[in-house]
Amino acid sequence: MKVSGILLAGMIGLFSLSFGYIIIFMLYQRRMIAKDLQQQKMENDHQKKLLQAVIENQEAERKRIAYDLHDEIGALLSTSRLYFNQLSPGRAEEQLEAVSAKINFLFDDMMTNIRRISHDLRPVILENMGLVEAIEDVSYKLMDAGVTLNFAHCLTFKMTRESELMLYRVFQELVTNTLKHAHASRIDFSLEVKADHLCFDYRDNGVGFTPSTTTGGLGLKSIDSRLSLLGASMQREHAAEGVRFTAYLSPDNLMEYEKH
Amino acid sequence: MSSTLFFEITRGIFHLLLILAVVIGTIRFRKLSFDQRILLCLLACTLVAEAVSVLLWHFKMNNNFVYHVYSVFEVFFLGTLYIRNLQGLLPAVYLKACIGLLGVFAMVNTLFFQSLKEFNSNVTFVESLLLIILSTLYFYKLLRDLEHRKLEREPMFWINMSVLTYFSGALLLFHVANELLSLPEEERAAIWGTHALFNIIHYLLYGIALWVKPLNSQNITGSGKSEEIIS
Repeated sequence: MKVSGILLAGMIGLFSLSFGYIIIFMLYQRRMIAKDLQQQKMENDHQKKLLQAVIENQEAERKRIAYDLHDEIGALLSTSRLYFNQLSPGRAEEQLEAVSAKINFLFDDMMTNIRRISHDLRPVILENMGLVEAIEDVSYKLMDAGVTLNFAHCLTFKMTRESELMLYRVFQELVTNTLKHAHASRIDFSLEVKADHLCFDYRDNGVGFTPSTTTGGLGLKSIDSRLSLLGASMQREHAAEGVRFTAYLSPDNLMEYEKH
Repeated sequence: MSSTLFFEITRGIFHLLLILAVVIGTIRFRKLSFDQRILLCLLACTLVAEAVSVLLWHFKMNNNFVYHVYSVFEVFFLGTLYIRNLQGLLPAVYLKACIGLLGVFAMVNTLFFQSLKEFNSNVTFVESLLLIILSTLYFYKLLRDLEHRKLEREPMFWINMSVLTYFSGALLLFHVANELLSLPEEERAAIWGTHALFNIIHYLLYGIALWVKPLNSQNITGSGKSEEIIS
């Protein structure tokens, strides 16, 4: 019985070992799948939040345009109509000249507002000249507001118009935040190619931020959303004074990104 | 219960399960995936081999030559399954080369080492080793890719479980099969009865593999694995 006993023990032992291996495998596989599903859920939730931020941002912009059109352009047109009604043949020449001057003034005001609204929708200088010139244009406007913008750039490739618009909007959002909340007097911004990536580096010398004040921000979510479409993400850090925002973008993504 | 009776009962149950698995496969043939159809072909070959073997044994004739032929078919069908299901982990050319070499080894073994009157323990031992390795690799691939969320609906999972458990249990037996003839009949019966017990589980798992309906109806043209709907 000795040899057969050893053989039987070996056979049953190997059989049991293989069964044990299968059970361990199944338990481990279930755990890995649960982890994977959880990860997917988190990513989906994050994408939903970004999408929601984009939609809310769009609605806010539409609301602002509607307000501008109704309250400013609409009001100017109504006032102009009143003045047009005064242009009757029986009026004295001096009165007609005064009404005409008033109408011209109102039309100038209307054109200024329309240009402003149009510029907000799609900056002409960005369309015609490009991202660098559009940012330099912003620096002149910031000077009027008492904020100095130091802009350094070294772009060695040409990105698509959509990519330029995305980066411009991100920059615009950051500047808006600086002006609204940071009370800064200086902004340092650079767009430079470093180690095969485009480094988007923005910092101001304002009051900084605390995490609790930024997690719910629509603007920052909008920034995250735009950058994620370009295959990048924003890193925020407290600097010695103010804040610093950095993103690393792939030139390939910037040269290929088109809105569908 | 004597070992001989134990052997008779377990062998009878294993033959019953084999017939049942073939019947299930035949009834559900149109709904079977390509992998399941390959398994059915293997089971059909097994049924024929066992029928011939039992018949010869009944007439007290040597039936070892049956397994010389059957081993080649078994390696071919199981090898085909692993070639299809280990894509992305092992290049098919290596597996095809292994199967080819094993076929050649089987012929050489029959011609020069173990005649048709002996059990082809050399070939079955090498075959067992190869299949144990392939089944382990398949489990590794399942973990690496996490393709199949509901393993119990995947026929290849059941086939693989069957292959790993059976060939692990039978590995030592196949190595020393011819040397067992010197043992008393009772001991031989106990050993082969245990082997028949492994076969019961083997064909039970094959039967489940034929019974399950994969989550997404797999293509039956054999062009490759179809994607699973993640529910």
